[in-house]
Amino acid sequence: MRAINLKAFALGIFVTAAGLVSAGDARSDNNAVRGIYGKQIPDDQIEFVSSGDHIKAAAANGAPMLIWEALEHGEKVECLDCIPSIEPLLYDGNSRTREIAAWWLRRRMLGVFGSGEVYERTLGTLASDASPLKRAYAAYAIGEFLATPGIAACAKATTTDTDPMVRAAAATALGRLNDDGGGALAKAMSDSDGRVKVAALGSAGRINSFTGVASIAALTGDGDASVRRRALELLDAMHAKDSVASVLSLAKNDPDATVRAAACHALGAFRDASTRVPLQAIADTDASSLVRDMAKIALRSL
Amino acid sequence: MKRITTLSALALLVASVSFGGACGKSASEDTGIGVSSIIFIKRQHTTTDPQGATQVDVAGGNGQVLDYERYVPGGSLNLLAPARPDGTLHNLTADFPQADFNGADVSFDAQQVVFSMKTSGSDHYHIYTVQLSAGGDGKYEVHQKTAGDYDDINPVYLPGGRIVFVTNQMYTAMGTRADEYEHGRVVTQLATISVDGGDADRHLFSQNLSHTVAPFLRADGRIGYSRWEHLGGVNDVKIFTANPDGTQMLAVSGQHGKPSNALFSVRETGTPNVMVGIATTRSRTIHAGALIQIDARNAADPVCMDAHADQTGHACIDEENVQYNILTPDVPTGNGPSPVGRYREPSSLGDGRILTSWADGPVNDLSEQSITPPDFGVYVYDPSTGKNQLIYNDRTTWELNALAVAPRKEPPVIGDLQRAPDATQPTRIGSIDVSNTSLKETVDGAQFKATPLGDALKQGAVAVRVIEGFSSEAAKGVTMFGLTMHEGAAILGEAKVYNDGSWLADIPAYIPVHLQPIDKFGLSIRSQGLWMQGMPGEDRRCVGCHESRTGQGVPRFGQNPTVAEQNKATPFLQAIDVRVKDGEYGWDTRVQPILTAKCAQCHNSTTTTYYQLTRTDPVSGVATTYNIPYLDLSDTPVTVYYDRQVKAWPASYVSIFYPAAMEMGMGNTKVTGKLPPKWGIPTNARGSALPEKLNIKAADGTYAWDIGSHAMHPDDKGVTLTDEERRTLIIPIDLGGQFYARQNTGFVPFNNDPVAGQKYN
Repeated sequence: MRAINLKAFALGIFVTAAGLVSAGDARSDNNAVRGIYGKQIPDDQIEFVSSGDHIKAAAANGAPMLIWEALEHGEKVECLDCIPSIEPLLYDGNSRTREIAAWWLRRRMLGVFGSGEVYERTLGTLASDASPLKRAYAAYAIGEFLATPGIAACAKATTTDTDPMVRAAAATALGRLNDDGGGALAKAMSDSDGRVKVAALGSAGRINSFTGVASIAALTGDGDASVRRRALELLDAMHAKDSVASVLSLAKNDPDATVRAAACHALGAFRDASTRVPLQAIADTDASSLVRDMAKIALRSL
Repeated sequence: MKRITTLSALALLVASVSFGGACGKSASEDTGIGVSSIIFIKRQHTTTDPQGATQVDVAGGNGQVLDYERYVPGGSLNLLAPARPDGTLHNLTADFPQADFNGADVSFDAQQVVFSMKTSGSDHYHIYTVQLSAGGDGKYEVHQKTAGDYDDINPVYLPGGRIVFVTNQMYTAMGTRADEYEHGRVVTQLATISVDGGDADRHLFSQNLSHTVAPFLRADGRIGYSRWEHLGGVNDVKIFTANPDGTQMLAVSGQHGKPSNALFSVRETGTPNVMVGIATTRSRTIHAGALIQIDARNAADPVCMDAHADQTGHACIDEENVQYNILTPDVPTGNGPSPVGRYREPSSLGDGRILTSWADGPVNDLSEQSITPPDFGVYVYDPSTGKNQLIYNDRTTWELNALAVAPRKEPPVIGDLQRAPDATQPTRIGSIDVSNTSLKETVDGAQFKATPLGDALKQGAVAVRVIEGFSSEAAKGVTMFGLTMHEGAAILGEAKVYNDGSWLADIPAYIPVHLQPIDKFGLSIRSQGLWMQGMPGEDRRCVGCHESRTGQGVPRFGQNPTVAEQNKATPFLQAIDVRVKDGEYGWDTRVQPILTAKCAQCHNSTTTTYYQLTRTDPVSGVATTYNIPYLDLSDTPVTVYYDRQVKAWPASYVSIFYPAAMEMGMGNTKVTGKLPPKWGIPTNARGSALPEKLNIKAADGTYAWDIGSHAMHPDDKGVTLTDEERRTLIIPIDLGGQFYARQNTGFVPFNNDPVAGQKYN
């Protein structure tokens, strides 16, 4: 019979250490801290764990690097009353401050995802705040929270928000959430604003289920070179052979060398023998050596 | 590219050195290091926007575990000739002023460099080559070799005109592999191209769950690399090797103890299987740490200890007995502060000295928050004196990835050994004799009592369970798979072990799996703590269940072929939707219905007792008490704390797995009330109380636990469990105690898998 050592078990869970750090993350390194160098190291070089007061003070101070440091050191610090200080940082002007604020909040076990708490408020901000900037920042935060209720909210914002900055942010968030928002990304590719298109293309390339090739192919005629290039990269990755004609046209004629190079690379992925002659011409004559490189690689792929 | 196959780098490295007087950045007057020139990368870390705001980026994002997405414009690839502080610096990539760089290598003939470059913020990292001799126009000829909607970094030349690198390209039905640890960043895998054909000859290797980084070339022509291993409680970075065609991925060092959590940026010295690298922790050190020598030679074989001997046919890697020598003992191997700085990206100069990057002071990803980023420069470190000799340092940039520009011997070309051109071809796995093991472990539970592993396998193994692994890419909105540290799991199948101990199975190529030899009761005898994977058409048969890497393996009965070969491999090649449906055990989809129908009428909230876990917030002092059922097998929600989450789970799931989960560390907690046994211990059903309570009857009529003292339950109470139902209650414990699977998280397969040749619809 298997023996169960209840005494040892009980001892194991009667943890009484009263350190500031929760040991909840059992994936910490085998030898996370090795050696004591305290006497050799100036005090200001020794790593520390943020206290709740330090986190709140850093948030109030507003200096980005102080905030990053306080939150990075405060990953495992439980501080319910810090949350009201950090939530406004989701709308800070510095993108990395916004990112780490969302990350720190996502790692809270209380006070964020409950009814009426930060997450719900962020969804509300995305849905109805008067400020487009705040709505956009709310969308980024919802993506960083990685929670599934954000999918519907971001899908709606991607297709219906009146401000392109918000639509682009929501499209980016869908990529972080690994979801096409029930067709929202494809719709975003026909948005009137280039930022939204680029964001949608970027997200479409990183989710499992995107199939809207027609939406992408339509962007090969876009007026923005960065949109055309990202569309070509996605057609390339999707092996969208039926777009070969429009891709070949860009390979031959696009004024932007990065677009021509991306088009040549896509033609290599398509492996359509009919493109051999024009690719050879590009390989021989294009003004850009990098485009010629891509044409040669494509020829070798045929 | 001209290849030199006979010149030895050693012959070209003239040791003519006197060293700097002190450890530090003060340069010595005599700075010769014996090579005419070196290349290195300059990377920017500080930018100032038009409004004057300064930003420092050393890690590529908050919590970025491995530095591969960082982009700061203004980097360059440089040639320093002669290789000393007053040498002339040649910017080889002057046409790309907005570029950043991530990895470089010098060709065997020292005429060309391969490097990874991202030309602008809207670009990706891709592979380029540059000639080291300027053209008539004074420019260095740059060629692009890869492109696409993904990043390719860390390129290294391979024999035969190939280049190996790592990529975050999506492939296989899993799409973007994203380890759930920390920020869930996209992971990287190995790939190769040819120097001449670039992406036209692109080959993607089989996948690990977590990042693969920093490939290096071995003297035998194979690829070495660092691999982040994340399987249950295992979470570290080890050294592996693989053939240039992606086959035969094997451990080199770090699996059986090492002096640091992670071994990064490794390169082989002039002696086969003796390497120099960085010992550090993978988290928040930006890959910087102590210099370490790693000796993985098989000391029992004199041929393996002779660097000049023909080692063909000798098992010269002894990964179980690797010798480690920290060359810079004052530098921490964790992420603590260092009194003497940290090192990155070393390479041997062939005379015992090491060309490396070094920065003084504390080096970690928090440095960026002080506007005093670490200042990496290029140095030569001499282990015999413990001193750094300055070669080049620009205080405004990092100088990384320094390599001597000198012809070197090209290792033998290893052609495509087994890789099939058809990506749908399976990988064959198996053992000659599963009981052949070098592991000094014992097995307890059911029929075994402190039984040596080899004996337990010989007496008990009737099949080998093959388990596919996946991470948060498969489970939308899920960053933990339950009250467990284990990743997602799906059973591909259970291959029969024949009477000679042999077994064979065909599994889908590319995907990571781990193995469990199981007994006639379906209980795991041992759970492999390492992911393995294979290429299409690859044969990955082993001698045994972790056999001695330096010994001989023969069939148990001396016959050839094994019985498994005579009976052909068992195919486990179901499509992914079948694997999701049949191979996974989502708690609410497969387990709870049985518990509700057969168990909850007796074990529910009205019949159970409760114990209490009180957790005190270490900062606020607020205490929260959680009531946890001793045994409630209903689906009533019960809220508990685990791994920094407070979440409601079905009472059945909490009842079974919380007792074991509590041992993973709960911080400041106190438990009162009557404690239950550990009903379910992840990957150890044999040692768990629930299977013991249920007991199991094998096909031959025997019981896992003595039927006299362990009546079959709940049959003893008049409720009958079918064999399949009993198995469904026990297998999830051996799989790791997950609540979530792809089955119950809305997983949608990647519909554009390039290696499977799938189209978008």
